[in-house]
Amino acid sequence: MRIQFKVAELVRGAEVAQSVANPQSTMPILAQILIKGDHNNLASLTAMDYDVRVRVEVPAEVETKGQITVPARTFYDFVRELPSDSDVVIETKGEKVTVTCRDIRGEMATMPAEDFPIWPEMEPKLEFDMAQKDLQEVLDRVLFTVPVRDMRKTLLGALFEIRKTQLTVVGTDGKILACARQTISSEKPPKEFNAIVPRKLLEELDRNLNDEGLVSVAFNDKQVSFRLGNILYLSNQVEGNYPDYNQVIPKQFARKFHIQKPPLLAAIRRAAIFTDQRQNSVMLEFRGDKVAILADSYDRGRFYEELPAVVEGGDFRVAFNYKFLQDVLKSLPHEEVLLQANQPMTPAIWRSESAEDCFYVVMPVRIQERTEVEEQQPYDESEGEA
Amino acid sequence: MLQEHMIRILPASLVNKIAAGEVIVRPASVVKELVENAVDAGAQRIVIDLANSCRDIRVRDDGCGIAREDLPKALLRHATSKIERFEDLWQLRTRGFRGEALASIAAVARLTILTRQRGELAGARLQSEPGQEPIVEAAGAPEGTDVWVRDLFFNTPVRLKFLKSPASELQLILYMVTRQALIRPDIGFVVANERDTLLEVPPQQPWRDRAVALLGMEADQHLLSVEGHRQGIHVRGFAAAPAFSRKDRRFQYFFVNGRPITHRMLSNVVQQAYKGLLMTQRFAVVILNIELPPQEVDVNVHPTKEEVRFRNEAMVLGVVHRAVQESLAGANLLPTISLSSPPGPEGRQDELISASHWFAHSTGARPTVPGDFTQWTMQTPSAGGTPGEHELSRLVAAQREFDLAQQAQRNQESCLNTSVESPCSVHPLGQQASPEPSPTTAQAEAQALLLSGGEYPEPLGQVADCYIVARAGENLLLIDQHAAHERLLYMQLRERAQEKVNTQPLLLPVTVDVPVEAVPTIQALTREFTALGLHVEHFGGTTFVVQSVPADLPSIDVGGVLMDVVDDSLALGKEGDLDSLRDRILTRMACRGAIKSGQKLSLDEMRQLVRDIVDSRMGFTCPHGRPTMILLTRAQLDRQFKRVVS
Ligand SMILES: Nc1ncnc2c1ncn2[C@@H]1O[C@H](COP(=O)(O)OP(=O)(O)O)[C@@H](O)[C@H]1O
Ligand SMILES: [Mg+2]
Repeated sequence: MRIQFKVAELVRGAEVAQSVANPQSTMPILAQILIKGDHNNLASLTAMDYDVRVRVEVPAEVETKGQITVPARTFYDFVRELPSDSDVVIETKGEKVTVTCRDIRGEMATMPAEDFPIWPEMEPKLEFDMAQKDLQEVLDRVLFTVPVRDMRKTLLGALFEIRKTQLTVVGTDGKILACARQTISSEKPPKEFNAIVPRKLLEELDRNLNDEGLVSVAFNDKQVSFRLGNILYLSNQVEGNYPDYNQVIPKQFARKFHIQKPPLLAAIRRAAIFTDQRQNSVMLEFRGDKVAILADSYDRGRFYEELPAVVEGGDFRVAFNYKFLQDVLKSLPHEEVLLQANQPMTPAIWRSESAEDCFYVVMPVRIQERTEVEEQQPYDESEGEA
Repeated sequence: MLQEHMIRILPASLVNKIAAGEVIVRPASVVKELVENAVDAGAQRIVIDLANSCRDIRVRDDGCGIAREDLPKALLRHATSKIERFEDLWQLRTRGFRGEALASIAAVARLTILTRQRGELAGARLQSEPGQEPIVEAAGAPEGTDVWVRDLFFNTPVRLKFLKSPASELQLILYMVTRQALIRPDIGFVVANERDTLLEVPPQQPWRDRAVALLGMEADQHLLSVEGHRQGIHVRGFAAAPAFSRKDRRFQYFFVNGRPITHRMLSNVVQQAYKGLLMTQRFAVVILNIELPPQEVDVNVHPTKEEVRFRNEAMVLGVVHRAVQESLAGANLLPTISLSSPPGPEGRQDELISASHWFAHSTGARPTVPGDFTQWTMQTPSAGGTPGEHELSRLVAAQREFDLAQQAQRNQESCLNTSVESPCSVHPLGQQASPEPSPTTAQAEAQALLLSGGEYPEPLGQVADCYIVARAGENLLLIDQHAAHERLLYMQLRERAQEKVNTQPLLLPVTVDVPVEAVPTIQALTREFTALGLHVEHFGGTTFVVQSVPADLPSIDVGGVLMDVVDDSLALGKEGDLDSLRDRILTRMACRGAIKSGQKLSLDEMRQLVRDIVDSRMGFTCPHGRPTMILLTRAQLDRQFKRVVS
C-alpha cells in the first residue's frame, strides 16, 4: 500500500479518528486506526471503541491500493507535528508502516489489517436531516446531564424521541433532567420512534459539529449513525428502555418566579464561595418582589445577595445543589429565566422565559434546618445592604 | 437393601468410624440439620419459621413422616434410617447418615415433633425437654413432619452468650437455606420470621429460575450454563459473566452429588478459569454440581458434612476447570461491535467477535514493532535533558525514597521517632518525623505549611489523572485525589453521623437487587443509611429502592455502596455484627462517593477539593494508613537541586 495525503487533511482526519480509538483498552485493536485506500483519490481512516466507531474519508492519491493499521495516538501525535503545507506518504513494506514527509520519516508498530473488524453496513429504518447547528444546540443543553457512570445502563446515553418532525432529546442522571427539542426534516417522518444514543458518541459529535451544514441521522433497532460531511459515525444504541421521563415532569405549578439570568448566575458563583462540600447548596428565598440568594457553611461564613424578581404564588424558599444550578443556568438560552415550582420538596422546572424548546427538571435539596438560634431571621436589612 | 424409613441404632463399631464432633453450635446449624432431614424425607415443600431471635425454629415438611413407634428412637444418638453398614457410606444418597442431629438438638432445646407417615391415618406427637424422657402420644397431624425447636441453648448459657446478633444469625440461616434451595429447585422453600417472609421459592422451578430467584434478579442477564463431563464425572450448573463478580468466594456454590460442600481447590480452579476476566480481589459467582459415582467421593470427612474428599481430585478439578472455561469462552463477554454486519467486501464473516477471538489477539498478535531502528540515527536524550524532565525523575526518585522510608517506618513500629535519613526525606504530612511527634503539633505545622502565605494551595494540574500537583507557598504539594477525597468524606460522614444531613431526593429512584440472604441485613441497616442521607426502602423480595442521596454526595454510586455493604455483611457473617457494619457503611460511602483515580478534573474542581481538604484539617493519611498528600518543602527542593549543602 502506498498513499499520499496533504498533511493538513490527514491531520484533520486523524484527529477525528484517534478521538474515538481507545488506547486504554486491553484490546490492542481498539487503539489502532485502520487506513485504507481502495479508490484512486480517496482514503478512509477508521477507528472504534466498544460501542462507537467512526470512518473519515480523506482526499488522497492512492498509488498502491491496500490497508494498514497504525497506533492511533502515536500516529496522530506524529502527523500533527509535520509541516502542514506538505505532502505525506504512508506506505507498507512487509510488516511495517512508514510515514514519510520530506526528509522526515516515522516507522510505526502495526497490526494485521485483516484483524480490524469490518464496517457493518447498517440497514436504516428511519432517516432524517437536521442542521448541525441545531444538533449542537441540543447537545449543549443535554449532554452535561448524561452521567459518565451509573449502574442504570439506560441513563448512560441521551434519549432521542422522534414524533413526526419533532425531535426531543432527554438526558438525566436521576437528579436533574434535561429536555431539548428541535425540528427535523425527513421524507418519511415516523409517527413514533425512540432510541438511546450513548454518551461517547454524543461527545464525539459535540466536538465535530459545525455552525453550517447538515447532519444526516439514521436509526435502526440496534444502531444509529450520524454523517457530517466526510465523517460517518456508527454506534450501537444503549439497550433497554429509557425511564418514563414524563412521569417526573410536573404539569402544573402553584408558583412562578421570573429572574434575570446573568445577575443570578453571578450571585450563585459568589454564593458558591461560601458553601462547602458539606452543604453543597444555595438557598433561594423569594419574598415580595425580590429573591435572596443565601449560602453558609461552618468554615467559610455566610453569604447574602438580593436580586429583583417577579414572584407569582407567594413567598417561597427552596434550595438547590449550586453546581446543578450553575450548569442549568449556563445552558439556558435568553437573558430571562423562569422557575416553576410547587413545594420546596417537589421537582422544579427551570426554563427560559421565551423558549418552549428547552427546560430542566431539578430536584431541590432537602435542608435539615439547624436548631441553633442563628437560623432565625439571619439577615436583617442593614446587614443585607452593608 | 435398606428397609425404608426404619430407624435403627448404629452399632458402636460403625459409630466409631463416622467423623464425630459437635454439630449444633448455633441456630443456623439447627436449621441445616432439620432442612436436611426434610430433604431426605422426600419433601416437596419445606417451611421454616423463625422467632425469638432465631432461637425458636420450626421446620415443617410434607415428606414421608416418622412412624409412631420410631419416634422415641429418632432422638437417640446414632439412630438413623439412612445407613446400616459402613459400606453404605459409599453409596450415600441422603444428606444425613449419622443419626445424631435430633439427639444433639434435643440436648440443648425444648423440642416438639408432630408427624404422620404417608398413607397412615393417625399421627403422633413427641415432646422433649433436655434431661427428661420424651413423651410420645397419638395426635392428629398433617402428612409429613413438623419439628419445633424452642429456647435453643437455654440450658447452655455460655453458648447463648456467644451467639451473634440476630441479623447475622438470620443471614447465616438464609445462606444455609439458599445453598440447599439452589440445588433442589424441585423443592419449595419458605423462610419467615415474625415480621416478614424472607425467602420464598416455589416447588418445581426450572434450575435457572431458581438460581436467579436466589442470586437476585440482576443475575438473569449474567448466568451462563456450564456443562461438562469426562469419565463418569459430570459438571452442571451456572457461571456468571465477570460483570457479576463478587468481593469474596461466598457466591461460589459447589455441590457434590447434590450435597452442598466447600472446597478450596474447586474454588481456585474456578478462579483460574476466569483468569484475565476478573479484576484482582474479585471472585466469580458460580453454581456447580459435580456428579460422580458415590464411591468416588468421601463425605465422611467432617461432622457437618461440609467437606468432601475426591478419590481422584486432579481429574475432578480438571473437568470443572474445562467446563467453566468453555462456558465463558462460548459466551460473547466482550462488548459487541458489529452485531449485524453482513459479510463485507473483505469476505470475512466475523459477525460475532467472540471472546476467544479477542483473546487470540490480545495474547498472540501483539502489534509488531519494526525491528531495524538501529540503522536510524536517533538522538538519545542527553544527560542535561530539560529541567522539567529532571524534576520529574527526581520526584519519582523521591517517591521511591519515600516508599522505602515508609516501609522502614513500618518495620520499626516500636521506635517511631527514628528519622529515616535519606537524601530527601519526604514525609507524608502530619507524619513529620519530629523528635516529639505529638499529633497536634505535627498537624498544626503541616497546616501552616499548607496555608503558607495565608493562601490556599494553588493546583497546577493533574498527573496521570490520579494526583493533583499544587503549589503551597514555596512548597510543592502532591495529593492523591481519590485517597484524599475519600479521607475527607469519611471524616465528614463520621462527624455528621450525629447531626441531620441535607439530602438530595432523586427524580428517578435507584433500585438495587441484593442476594436473598442479605435482605435482613440491609433491612436492619435502613435506619443507619437514612441517618447518613441514603434513604433506602425495601421494595419487596430482593429489591431495595434508594429515594435520596446525601446532598454532599450527589453522584455517589448508591448501588455500589449497597452491594459493598452486602459483601461486608456476608463476609463479617460469622464474627461480625451490625456495629462493625456501621463503620463499614461510612467507609464504603466515602470510597464510592470519592473522586476516582483516573478521573479528569478541571482546575476549578481541583481548587475546590484543595480548599475542602485544607479547611477540614484532615489527617494526612487515609484510614488504611496510606498517605493522602505529600509535601516537598522549598528546603527539600533546594537540597535536591544541590543549591544548599545539607
Ligand atoms: N423431617 C423428617 N421426616 C422423616 N423422618 C425424619 C425427619 N427428621 C428425622 N427423621 C428420622 O429421624 C432419624 C434421625 O434423624 P437425625 O438425628 O437427623 O439423623 P440422620 O439424619 O443422620 O439419620 C432419621 O434417620 C429419620 O429416619
Ligand atoms: Mg439428619
